[in-house]
Amino acid sequence: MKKLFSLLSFLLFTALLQHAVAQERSISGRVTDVANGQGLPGVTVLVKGTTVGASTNSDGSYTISAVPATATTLTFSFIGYRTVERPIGNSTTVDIGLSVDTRQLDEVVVTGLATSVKRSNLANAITTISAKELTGSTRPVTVDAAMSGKVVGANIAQTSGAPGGGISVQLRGISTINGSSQPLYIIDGVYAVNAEVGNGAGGAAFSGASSVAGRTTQDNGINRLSDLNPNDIESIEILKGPSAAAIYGTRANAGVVIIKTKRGAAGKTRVSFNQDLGFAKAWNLLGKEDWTADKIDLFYSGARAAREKELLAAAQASGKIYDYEKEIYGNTAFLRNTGLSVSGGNEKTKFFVSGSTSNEEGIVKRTGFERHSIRANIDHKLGQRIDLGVSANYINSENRRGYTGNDNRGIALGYNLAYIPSYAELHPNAAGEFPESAYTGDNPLAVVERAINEETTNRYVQTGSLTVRLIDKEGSSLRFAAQGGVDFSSSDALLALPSDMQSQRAVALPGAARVAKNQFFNSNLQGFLIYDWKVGDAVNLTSQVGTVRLSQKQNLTYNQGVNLSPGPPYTPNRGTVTSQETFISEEADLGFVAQQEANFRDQIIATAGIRFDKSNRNGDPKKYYAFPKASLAVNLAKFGFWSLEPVNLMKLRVAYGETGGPAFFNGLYSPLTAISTGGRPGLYPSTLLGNPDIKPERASELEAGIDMGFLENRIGLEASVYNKEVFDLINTYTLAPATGVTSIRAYNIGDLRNRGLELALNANPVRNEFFNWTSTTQFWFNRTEVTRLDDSPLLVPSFNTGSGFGATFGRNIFTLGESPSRWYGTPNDPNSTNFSGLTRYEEAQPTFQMSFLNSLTIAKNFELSFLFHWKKDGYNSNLSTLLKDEGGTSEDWSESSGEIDDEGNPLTKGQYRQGLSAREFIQNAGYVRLREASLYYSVPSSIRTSLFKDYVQNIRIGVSGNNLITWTKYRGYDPEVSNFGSTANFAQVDVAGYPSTRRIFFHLGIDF
Amino acid sequence: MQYLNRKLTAAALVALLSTSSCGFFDVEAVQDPNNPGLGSVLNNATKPQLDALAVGLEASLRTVHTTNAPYNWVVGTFGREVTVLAATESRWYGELQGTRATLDDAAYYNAYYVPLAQTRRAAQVYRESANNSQALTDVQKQGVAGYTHTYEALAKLLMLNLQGDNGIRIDLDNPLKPGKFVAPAEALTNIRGLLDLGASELDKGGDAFGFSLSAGYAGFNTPATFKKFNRALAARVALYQGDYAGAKEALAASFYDPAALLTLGPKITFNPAIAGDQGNPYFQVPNGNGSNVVVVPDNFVSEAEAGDARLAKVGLRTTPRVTGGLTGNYEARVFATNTSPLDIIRNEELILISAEAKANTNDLAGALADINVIRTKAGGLAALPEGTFSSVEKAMDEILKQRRYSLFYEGHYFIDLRRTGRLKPVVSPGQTLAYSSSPYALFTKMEKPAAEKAWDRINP
Repeated sequence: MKKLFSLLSFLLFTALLQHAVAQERSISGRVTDVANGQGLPGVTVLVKGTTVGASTNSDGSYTISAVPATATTLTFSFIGYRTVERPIGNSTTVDIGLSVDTRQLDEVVVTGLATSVKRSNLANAITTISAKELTGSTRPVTVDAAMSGKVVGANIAQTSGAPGGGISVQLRGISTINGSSQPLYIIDGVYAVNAEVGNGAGGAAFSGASSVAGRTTQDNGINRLSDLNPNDIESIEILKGPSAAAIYGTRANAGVVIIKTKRGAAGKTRVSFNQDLGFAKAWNLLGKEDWTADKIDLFYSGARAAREKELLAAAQASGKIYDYEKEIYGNTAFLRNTGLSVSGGNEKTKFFVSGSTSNEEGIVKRTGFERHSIRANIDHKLGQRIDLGVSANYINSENRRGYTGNDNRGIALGYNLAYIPSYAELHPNAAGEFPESAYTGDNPLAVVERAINEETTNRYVQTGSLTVRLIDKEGSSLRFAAQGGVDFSSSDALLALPSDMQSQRAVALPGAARVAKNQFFNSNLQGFLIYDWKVGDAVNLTSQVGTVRLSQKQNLTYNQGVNLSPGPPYTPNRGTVTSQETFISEEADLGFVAQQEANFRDQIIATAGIRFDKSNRNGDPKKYYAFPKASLAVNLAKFGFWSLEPVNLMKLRVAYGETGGPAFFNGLYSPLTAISTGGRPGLYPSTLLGNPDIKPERASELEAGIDMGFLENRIGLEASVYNKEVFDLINTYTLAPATGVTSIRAYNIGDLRNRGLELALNANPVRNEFFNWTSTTQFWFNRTEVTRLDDSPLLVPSFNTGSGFGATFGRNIFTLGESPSRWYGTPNDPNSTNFSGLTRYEEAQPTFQMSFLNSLTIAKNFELSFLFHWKKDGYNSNLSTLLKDEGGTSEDWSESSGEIDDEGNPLTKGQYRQGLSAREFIQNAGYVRLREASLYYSVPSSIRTSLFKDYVQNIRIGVSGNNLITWTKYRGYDPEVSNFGSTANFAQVDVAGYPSTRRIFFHLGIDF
Repeated sequence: MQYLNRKLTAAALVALLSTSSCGFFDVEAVQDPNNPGLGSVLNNATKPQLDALAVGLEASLRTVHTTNAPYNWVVGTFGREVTVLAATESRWYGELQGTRATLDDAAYYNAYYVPLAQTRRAAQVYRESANNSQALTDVQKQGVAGYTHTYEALAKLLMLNLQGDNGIRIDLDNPLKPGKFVAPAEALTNIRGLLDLGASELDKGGDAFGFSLSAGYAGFNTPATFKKFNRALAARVALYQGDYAGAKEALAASFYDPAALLTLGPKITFNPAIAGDQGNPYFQVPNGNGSNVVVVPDNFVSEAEAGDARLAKVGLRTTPRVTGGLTGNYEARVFATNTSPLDIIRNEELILISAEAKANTNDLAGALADINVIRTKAGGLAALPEGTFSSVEKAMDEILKQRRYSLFYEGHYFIDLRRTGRLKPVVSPGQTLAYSSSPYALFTKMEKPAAEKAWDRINP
């Protein structure tokens, strides 16, 4: 490797390698945390005005060997701490204490594709989550889950409690109403695969949640972001809207999440080992009501009632009354994470290598999630002018999610549990054979034991970056920065239902097995020229131009066999009737970017930029669309006239930007669908018309805010308001279905507007040797309204949107002046202006959200932190109780409702509720949740050294938990739920999904 | 140095951009990699393309039955012939049987609607493609026109059956400018006109079609024999119109034959083993305990005449199916396997149409003769003595009863009861409807789909 580098340098860059060798000296020292006096590892120490520097090792020590003689000042910076500049003078030792900066004003934040800016000069409210905030407390299994409650302005909700997660992220309201409104994820410069593509578990041959044969929206899929090991992450920046994300152009309507992974630091090689052991348990079960002879008479009639009464009596006599929900969902799942990282390097080459393995069992037997990840991040300086960086990450993950959620075949567990009385005998006999369930399509115990739904993903992410400093002069520097990479993800799923299961014996072709393969290949490459220059002493300017290319390919296939011969193994080729499907997509975008930043003495910072993009997902693949941006930040406190001493920061900022969202793949095409009869191949027109004139969705956002810092930033307030409008929203244009064409696939149907407020208050109320308390309180809300329905060339009618199950249970309507996430439903309201005459109900988006994150360091060695998250209101369409009412199993089924039927018979609650309108099913899903809490103890150095001498630098032990306490009136497994995974409008439907868990971990971390 | 820098920049850019073989700055249009496009057949289609469209049209009618709300389940539920006891979808036996006052205009049970509309459009696209192609002769194009107009009429008729009073749209050629909904009478006139047009085109269609039909059309696969099918449909439409003379006239040109097999007629075939084809959704494993069991209310059996052979269409379950408090002692067993074909229209119905047309045109004796064919051949029952039909009313009671048993679960009874004003708890002496009183209620039609309402709202 070294040889190769030398050769390359010799061949190409000989000229650049010559640099003046002047007198140099060495400086060393130790950086500590002023709060507890402990060494701070990973602090960047730089000779000011140069790129010479080092990072501190695990005990906070550093050495810079080649400090130029001209050096005067060292800067010490570390995410989460205030940057300090210290004059060197003649000393060779510089020790320093850093204090936590609740405002993190000096951290740099990405604003261009290739440049960054200090937070104190930022004109947008960009949320940054440090590694410590992300995973420093507890260990959410996925990155997106770890973000929950920590991002002001975001709606982050779990869609499934199944192991491996399932999270939906929505930034600043509704950005699109078709497909996914998930933000763009960029990991070390690579456009990450973050598709949520199912495998068919909800398809016709399996749970039948959907009548679709292939992949469905009810497969309980997960976002591929779950492959990323959260422990590898250094920081996450969230560009929430177009004003911040404009430079990302055509795919950035839903915001951009920029993930940086950890990188090595020069100095002593640091080895970190962490081990987490934990367990998870459902935090809420729905419970059951037992049966009596009287209840059976209410529920059944005739011979069946007599038969059920016999069964009940027999079960009662033998004491065989069961709680099947507890048997299936009541287990304790074991969780384990192990991680080892080695990092270090020297001035020229730095590395970070990590390996991790996670194994999370599910609370349902035979479900679970495993992830094994290995990463190598390497940075190398080729002479003084060239920096190279590469990151390689291989991931192997396995999901076993079982079958939950909606169902039409008796497979999904929760759905079927609702119908099983506690006196039913479903346990296997001595021979291991499961009895038939007379109440459901299959025996859920058999489903747990025998149904297969497992998916293995192999994924490789390779990124690379190159920076060449072409001109490097005082007052003017030009550099070329290239970055790119590939992300290849291949998932193989196996779904199977053995042919002798009850549900299978009842169908014509019993037994089903499917092998599904989802392959994604993303690649992107960008090149930028960045010129930093000065006009006089006061104005610093940064100019950049660049070009960006992105391509994405998908290949989704499955093979399915039904009418299976007895197994195992269960594979499609064991069936007599096989079918397959292939879906291919390929797309490419190209963009050109130019951006100009101007900084007047850190007092006034102005930025303007523009991006031109073309994409072959648009109707015209050659047409460029422009996405401009402009922003201004004014640091009042830095002006000479500022005399209000306690207020050290007073920044007014305003930013405007535009982004796009291309039409979905397929939007251009009017396909003929393959169909056959009598063995002859046929074609017939699908119900969809393509639109060759489709334009991208475009969003514009005006954001304004004020940032204040008091008492040397011990109190900081960040307040933002935004007005984000999405124009030319793309949706299917609903036609009169009688024509045989239900819709124009993609049509620019209208506009909507999101308005919201975001407040973040950071405080460090107590700061001393024995007690340090930092606190972050966030408050935010968003309001969405449809502002225009397009009228030319076609009038766009109001239409149903979202994923609701129909008017009886609540559905969403895209109509002028309303939010597309508002619920509508039965009964019909004579005053309704709605085309279906439905009653208008509440909004799915919360009234507001609030979070309260606190971290306390006590007596130096104890660290306590907790995060409360309050979601005020926000409604779900919830069928959980209905299913149990229909099955006679709801806890209060037999209680009197006080109502009577048409014939005057009293109705129980369970009977009465089934006949109710949508009012009953559209339920408030607000909650207050202790989302994270942790307590860590760092073993004091005296004890540590007496035990391990100097071999061990740090030992930390702790206990933490997720979802520890939840206060909610919601009747279901969890108010955070979505039968349809992550949906565009965030209006969620609850059909007895996989229960959410409360997770407790024990941690051990050792640094060598 | 400056020069070198410029050179380096250029070199770096070239190196960067040349890494992508397809041209870094090119963004090419992508043709649909998954399906052929509509545009590929509308002009100058080849013979194989036209043949594929012919197959597609025939096959599309099957999809009316293979959605998650199969047509005969919906019609069967409305006519209380069957009850779909779906363990995980209470709306089948609750909402659709009237437990909630209104029907949902966007629920899953509207799923029959779009496939019917799609069949109509498949006919239109095939006809237009054929007319714009050199691959067929003018005579063959007449055959295509006759075939497609017949299918269009059939699709519209089935749609009207469920839409009832709502009527249907009849002017549908331009999907962006559909005509208004018209009342049932006008819709029937339109459907009858399409059938008549199709018949005249079939007359000009030569000896053989320029395309082939599946084995389901054995005996009906030439312009002349296909026309018999066309006329059979015309007879059904005339009956719905109350045009009894027209019905008799159409029957005369159809395959109506009291002496022939009652099952004679074109069929939809099923074969789940072939890609693009599917199994018969109405087949169910006897005594199955799956999620969905289609059961038959007891009164179908209790109100039958003793010994009626047609009771073989239902079976007594070994254990009753109970779902949502509803008990199903009997289940539907009309189909022996999942490859059993489904009749589109058959001789048994034609004989019943004949009986009804005769009864309503002062030929009660003729009606009785037809009914006795049904009673003896289909039911294995004794023929009714001469003079039994003392009035049209009496004859109609008997005819509807025979239709109930002869055409069970074939999508008729609900429509028959509605068009004869008998959709009520007591249909006629000794004939009742299950689940027809509180908390249940009878519907006369499906709700007009939400998307149609939304369209009309904005296109008044």
